[in-house]
Amino acid sequence: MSSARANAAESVGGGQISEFVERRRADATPFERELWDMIDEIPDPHIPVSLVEMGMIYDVEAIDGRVTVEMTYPCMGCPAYDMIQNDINSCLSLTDGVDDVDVEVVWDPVWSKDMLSEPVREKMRKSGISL
Amino acid sequence: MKYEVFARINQGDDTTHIGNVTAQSDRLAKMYAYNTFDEEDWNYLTVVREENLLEVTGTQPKREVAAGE
Amino acid sequence: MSEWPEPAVDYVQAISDTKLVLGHRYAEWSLSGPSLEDDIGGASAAQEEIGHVRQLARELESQGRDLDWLNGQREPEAFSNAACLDSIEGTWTEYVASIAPADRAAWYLLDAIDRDDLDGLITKMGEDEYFHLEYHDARLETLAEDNPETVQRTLETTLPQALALIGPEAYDEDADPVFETGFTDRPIAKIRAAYIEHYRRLFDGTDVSLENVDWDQPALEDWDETRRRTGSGSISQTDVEQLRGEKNKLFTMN
Repeated sequence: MSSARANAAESVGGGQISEFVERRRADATPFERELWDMIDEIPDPHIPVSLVEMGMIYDVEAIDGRVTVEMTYPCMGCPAYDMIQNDINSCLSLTDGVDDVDVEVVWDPVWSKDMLSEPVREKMRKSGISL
Repeated sequence: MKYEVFARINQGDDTTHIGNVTAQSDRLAKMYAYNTFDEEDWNYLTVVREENLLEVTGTQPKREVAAGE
Repeated sequence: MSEWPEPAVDYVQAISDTKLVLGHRYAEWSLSGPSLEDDIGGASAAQEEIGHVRQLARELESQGRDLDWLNGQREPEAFSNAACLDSIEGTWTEYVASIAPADRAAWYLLDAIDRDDLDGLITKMGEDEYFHLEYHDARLETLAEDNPETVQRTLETTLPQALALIGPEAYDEDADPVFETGFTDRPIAKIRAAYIEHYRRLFDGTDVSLENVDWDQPALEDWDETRRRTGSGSISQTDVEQLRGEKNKLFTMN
């Protein structure tokens, strides 16, 4: 749950994750947790919080260097649909121990703002954005 | 017909006035409000016909200009 | 991902193609509405339809369809969109009375799909569709007051075309091949009944009469099961080129 950038106010990520995300990463291996933390530093292009904080990452699985990231989107028509997947791909593929990254988009459960933690909502409110 | 639009972000927040829409029917006014004020995922969004706002104090300045003025 | 029964692939293809052309029509008309609010709604619906198509294309690709083909690398006659979207002539009133029946028909077909692995996807689409359909109905009600002749004349053409997308009346619970496989939870005849009832109720008491709408369309013997329509019409070659987006390839971000 810790992140190296937790204290930088302007940075994204920082472990302010909701119960939903915590449940999702509960059975992660130490290596998968490292990958979760890396994704927790990728910003949502629209909002100054990370993809993990947004509750968009549902699962990260690493088996013998093959990483599968399960994610969803708040809006199906997201204009940054490919861009976000590319960000995850390029961020994880440069990591030691990762040979291959597969980003899989899923819709179950359907995203809702209940997946955001209170500190994340507060951070968004401070930026003039609320969901 | 003019409608005033009210909303709140979270349950328990104050419901505040956020703008207005002009529409031919209540049903259309609701859709206009939904599409136009979509910067938030509102917990509560409502439209009220202007004529149903009953003023108690604070008379609004009149905006019409009468002929001959 | 498990394999769908063969008739189900064409069923989803027709929904996807209808949404593809629908998104295109929304975008084309999104500067033509009577108010800024109508245009904002249209632009937003266009984006949502394209989002739906992107997901349906993934599903169809997993069932063996080629992604380039899905995205428009095919002849106009290979598209299975609702015929009322082939071309829209006239004013914004004709436009609304053409897209509304198509959007509702596509949603009824989607909503009938009964697959656990598509459940979240369809729920998510339904969140968008609720507002598309509610807006269309609100607009059709006001247009029925302002311009009943045009609404009526257009619906006499577009409702039977949208019904052809849904399918023939003869496809009841004993004859609907998609329902028989369990891919959908209700037969075409039932979807049609709900659809027809909706429009009857919407225009009840207005100056728009649906008396001359041919509710029996499509006849089973004239119906093309793959393209879910009767006749050989299609979108234009120009439409296909625009759907492919080749002219603007330069601006693609990936």
